[in-house]
Amino acid sequence: MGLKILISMRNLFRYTKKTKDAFIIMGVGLVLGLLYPTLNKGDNLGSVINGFIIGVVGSGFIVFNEIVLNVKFLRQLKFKALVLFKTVLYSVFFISIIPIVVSLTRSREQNTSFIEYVNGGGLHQFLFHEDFHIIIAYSLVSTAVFIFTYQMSKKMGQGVMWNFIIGKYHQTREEKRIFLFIDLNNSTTIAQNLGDIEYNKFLKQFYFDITDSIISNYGKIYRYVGDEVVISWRMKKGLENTNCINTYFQAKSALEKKREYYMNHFGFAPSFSAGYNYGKVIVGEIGDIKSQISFIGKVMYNTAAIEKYCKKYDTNILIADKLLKHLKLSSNYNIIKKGEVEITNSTPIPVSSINLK
Amino acid sequence: MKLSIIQRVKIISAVQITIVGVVLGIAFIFFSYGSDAFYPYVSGAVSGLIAGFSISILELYIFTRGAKKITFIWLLTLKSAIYLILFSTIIFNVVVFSRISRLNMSYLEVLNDTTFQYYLTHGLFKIEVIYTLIFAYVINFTRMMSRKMGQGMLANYITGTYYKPVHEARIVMFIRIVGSRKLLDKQGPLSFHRFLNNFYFDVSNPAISRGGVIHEYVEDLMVITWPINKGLVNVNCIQTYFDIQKLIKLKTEKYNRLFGFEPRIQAGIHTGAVVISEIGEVKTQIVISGDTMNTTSRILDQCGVQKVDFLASDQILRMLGLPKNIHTIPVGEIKLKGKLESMALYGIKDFN
Repeated sequence: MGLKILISMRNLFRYTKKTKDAFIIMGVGLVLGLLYPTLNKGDNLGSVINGFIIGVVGSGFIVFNEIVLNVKFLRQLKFKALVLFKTVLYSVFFISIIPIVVSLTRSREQNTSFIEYVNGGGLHQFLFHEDFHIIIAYSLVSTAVFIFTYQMSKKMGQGVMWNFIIGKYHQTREEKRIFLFIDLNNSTTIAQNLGDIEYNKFLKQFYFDITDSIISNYGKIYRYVGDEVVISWRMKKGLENTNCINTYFQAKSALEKKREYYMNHFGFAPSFSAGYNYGKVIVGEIGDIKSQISFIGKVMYNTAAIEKYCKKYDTNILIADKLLKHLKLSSNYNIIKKGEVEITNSTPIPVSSINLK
Repeated sequence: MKLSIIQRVKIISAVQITIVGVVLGIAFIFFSYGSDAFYPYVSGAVSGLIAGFSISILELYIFTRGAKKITFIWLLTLKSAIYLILFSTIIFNVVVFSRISRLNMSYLEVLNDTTFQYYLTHGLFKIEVIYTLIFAYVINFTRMMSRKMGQGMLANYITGTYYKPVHEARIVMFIRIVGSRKLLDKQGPLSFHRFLNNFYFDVSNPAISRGGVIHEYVEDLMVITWPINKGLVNVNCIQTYFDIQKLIKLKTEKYNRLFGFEPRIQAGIHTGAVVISEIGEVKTQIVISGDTMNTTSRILDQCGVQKVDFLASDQILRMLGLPKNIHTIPVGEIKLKGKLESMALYGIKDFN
């Protein structure tokens, strides 16, 4: 347990995304902590200091719980149980931490010791005759809003919520992006053998196991359609350190490592084929009642077509030659010319496969 | 007067926003004045009510689709300015009237009252206006999130309904806009995007007014599902197709003028058990999967092969009692790709 916490602490510094989230939460916590005393008491220095400390400590606790620990058994709890658990957890936390902070600052103000302040009835006064209950309610409401927003932003994934807040895709824009289409091999056979629910679990596990190799190489998951995942990179990010290609090889080895697990649980081990291409897309919102940020461009269809040709060319990875030209692959890779991919109403695309020497 | 579903959705949202406004108005007073004041609570509730109502009107009826035409920064500035003026006026007047009724003063007397002037310059007035502004931003934000998630999905995400895969019986329809990809080839992605946006906006109402849920758009493909009973009542699921077709006919002139072509739709409809589940750790998406989905997609593919625009499976037709004007034309037992057994498919036509 202790080791696990240490590892996730280390990850907090390694994964810049989580670190960013932690800073944002603590920043907002600080603001909310300072907001309360300004709302309520004007400019009493003592309560401003209290607000500051409680804001920082409270949001620090939230960061620790929700980001660093992120306990797995909690994520699998039923919603009602989860709400109950968290309400109790945070209530106990705030009910114990707030009197301590307030007593500390007030005893300082009055030049007495902490013990003397508590024994002298100051704490009793604060708990039962002042705004203690309101502070608790305020802290809990803020915590609920925090957790809700954080969870939503996690669900929407990789910067989507942030792009929203800053209105990045309010109007359409053109971007040059690298696309990777990943498709599970033999999905029909696996699906027919496992049945709907088991197959769903299999897919979930498959996606789970390849996710790390996508995000650690700065890929953005665009969407899941059936047993296909679409991943994309801004041109520059994808070419840098051949990030986009690393994703394929890392995902492949991640699955190979878990081969036994899959065989034991499902009787099948997943393998996938991948198609790569790049091109210009229009990025913008589509839809009214249900709206989506979507990428529109020929490259979407082309890349799907390239991926479909993997079977024909008997390989698991096909890359459009025009993308290969931009990539600075290390000498560890063999490039194998494969031929062309036919596109309806368009010129065929020359493609190659690569493998590790 | 019969309200369209979009109007009903708007009215429900307006009521929700207003209620949230009242609750937040009361909450503010609780946090700032404490629990023993009475008049502030009335003012808080009334301000929340009026503010919530005006936010609804502005967001639902005024800042709608046209808002996309100006850049985000301008829209934000414009909205903030409007809200700032609006909320200052609302709170100012609510407090004045509260004082009029409480202290038996006239409007002018309140304005000249020193405690009131103190409230404006040194009291909570400014903070109340800022608080209400934040409320407006949060409403905006939540609405956007909810749209992003899809109909009713925000609640499902929050409560984790589909965290574990769930089996449900659904009617599923895949609709494809035929020939729209030519637009992409000829006029480029921007024009294709604009077309899709126009099209999906136009068909939103017919697509959901018969109880359907728009599950997703995959470029020129739209996926709609119904819980069984909602889809069967009034032959809703089949009628949706014809409703969309009628709407396209009405708008033909517009599409011709803007994009130089008339959209045509093909659809495949089927029913059976589907699996609904949240998928993905980093980017979570609610996916509907299972054999029924694959089969529906294959049925849609058959539209091109059989030269029929609307194909239904035997399974769905057996559940429906079709009205007289809607005819089914058997196209035979078809062996769908990836399937072992062949399926009886029927073309559907409306002879009205």
